[in-house]
Amino acid sequence: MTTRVTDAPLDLAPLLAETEDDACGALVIFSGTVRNTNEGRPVSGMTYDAHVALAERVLAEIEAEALARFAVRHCRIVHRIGALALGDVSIYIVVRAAHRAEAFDAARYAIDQVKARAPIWKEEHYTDGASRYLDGTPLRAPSPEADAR
Amino acid sequence: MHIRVTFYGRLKQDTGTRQAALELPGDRATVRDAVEAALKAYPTLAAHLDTLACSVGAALADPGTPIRDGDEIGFLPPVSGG
Repeated sequence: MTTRVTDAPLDLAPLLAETEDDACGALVIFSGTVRNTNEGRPVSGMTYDAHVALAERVLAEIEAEALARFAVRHCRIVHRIGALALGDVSIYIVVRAAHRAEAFDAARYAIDQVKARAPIWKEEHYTDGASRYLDGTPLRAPSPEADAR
Repeated sequence: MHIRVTFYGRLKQDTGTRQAALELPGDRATVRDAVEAALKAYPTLAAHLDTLACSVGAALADPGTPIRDGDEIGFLPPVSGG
């Protein structure tokens, strides 16, 4: 089974190898990395939590949607979880298409959907020793309790 | 029925728990019943109900989704991946 969520450092080379395609003139790679500040606070690292089984499904769905919605031939998404240091890669999105416009659009779609739908959570660690979970996007509203009222 | 509940992201922090076993009365229940039982055991969940989503196994679930003995119910706060 293809693994899309892992606590190991992400490796771009296998993603490029498995999507090699002479019919594609465009390759777009999006990479997210851990930044050293957020909202003015110095950041020392990030811990990612995930519902791994559900996240694997959601990332596979987003890949399939990118292929269906845009004229692209390949879309692969991998996301790292666990403890990451500054500069570490948290996500790679690899898109190959015949032409660049579709490749850029599909990569943008994929990262936007990952941020809105993948059951993954960031806990930011600061240089002063504090940490906090970042605000995010609710997966489904209203909640079960609100719905019951 | 016995279920397992798993708390993710800030819910793990707020409840102080990654995973717990809960007992629900009777042999028929829904996700809504699991949330109510978890709320009794972990009152700090109350602050997150408006933005809470749940999973059963590896699928997102609605409040009315039936659950069975042995199911794992995930408690999912707003997501922030990428």
